[in-house]
Amino acid sequence: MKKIDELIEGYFEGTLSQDEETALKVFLASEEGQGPEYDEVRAVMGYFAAGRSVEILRSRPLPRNDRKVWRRILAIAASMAIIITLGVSIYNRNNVCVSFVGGQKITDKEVVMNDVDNILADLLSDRTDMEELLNEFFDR
Amino acid sequence: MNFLTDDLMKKFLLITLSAFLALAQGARAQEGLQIDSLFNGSFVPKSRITESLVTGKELKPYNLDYFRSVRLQASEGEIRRIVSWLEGDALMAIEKDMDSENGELVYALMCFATNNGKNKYLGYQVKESSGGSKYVTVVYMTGKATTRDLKVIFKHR
Repeated sequence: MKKIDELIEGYFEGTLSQDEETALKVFLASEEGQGPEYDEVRAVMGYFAAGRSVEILRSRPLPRNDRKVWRRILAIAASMAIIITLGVSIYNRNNVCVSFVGGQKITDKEVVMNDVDNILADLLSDRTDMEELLNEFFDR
Repeated sequence: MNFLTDDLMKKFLLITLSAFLALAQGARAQEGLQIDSLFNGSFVPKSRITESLVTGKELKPYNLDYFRSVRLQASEGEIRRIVSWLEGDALMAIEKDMDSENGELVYALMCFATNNGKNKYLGYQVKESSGGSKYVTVVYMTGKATTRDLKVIFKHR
C-alpha cells in the first residue's frame, strides 16, 4: 500500500486504482485523517462525507439481505432436522414388533413373531371354506 | 417473519405438517370399527391383556403390513360386549365367516373394503380352558394378502 501522501498525489494525477482511492477515502474519514495537513485535500476532494459513509459501512452489521439469507439457512436447517427426526420416527413406527403381557413390554422379535404365528395359525389353519372344498372336489 | 412467505419455507412447513399427520394417523389403525373400544384400552385394563403389535418388515412373509392382537381371559358379560361390537362391525364387512356354538359366537373372520388397495381383516376366536375359563383373541390386520393367501400360508400349521 502506498503512503497517504503518494495516494493524495496519485489521486490528483488520476493514477489511483479503485482500491487505492477507497483506501484514501477511508483514511480521510478516520481520526488520523482529521489532521489540519489534510484539510485542504479533504476540501478539494469533497469526499469527507463519502469517506465517512465508507467507514460507517465497514462497522455496520450485516446488511438486511444477508440477515435474510442467514435466517433462511437457519430455518431450512431447522426444518431438515425436524424432517429427519420425523423420518426416523416414521421408520421406527413402521417397523414395530412388540408384545405386552400384563403391561410388561416384550421386544424380542422371535418371541413376538412366534406369538403372532400361533395366533394366525389358530385363526386360519383349521378353517376350510366351502369354496375351497368345492375347488378341491372338482380338481380331482 | 418475512422468510415464512418464501415458497421454499412453505414447502418445508407442508412436508413437516404432513409427516406429523402421517404419524398421528398410524397411531389408531383400527379406528372406525366398533371393536376399537377393545384395542384402545378403555374397555379392559392393559394389565389384563396380552397384546401384540407388529408393523412393517416382519410381516412381509404374510404380505401384511399391520397386525394387532388382543387376548384376555373374559367374563360372560365382557364376551357379550365384544361380540356385540363384532356384530356391529360385521354389518360393514364385504366378506365374513362366522361360527357359533350353542348360540354363542366362537369364531369370526371378516374382511372390509378399503380405498387403498389393501385388505382389512378382523378376526375373533374364543376358547374354553379345561377349568371353564374363556379366552378371547381379537385380531386386526391389514395388507395386500387375500383371505385365501392367508389360509394357504397357515393351512398346515
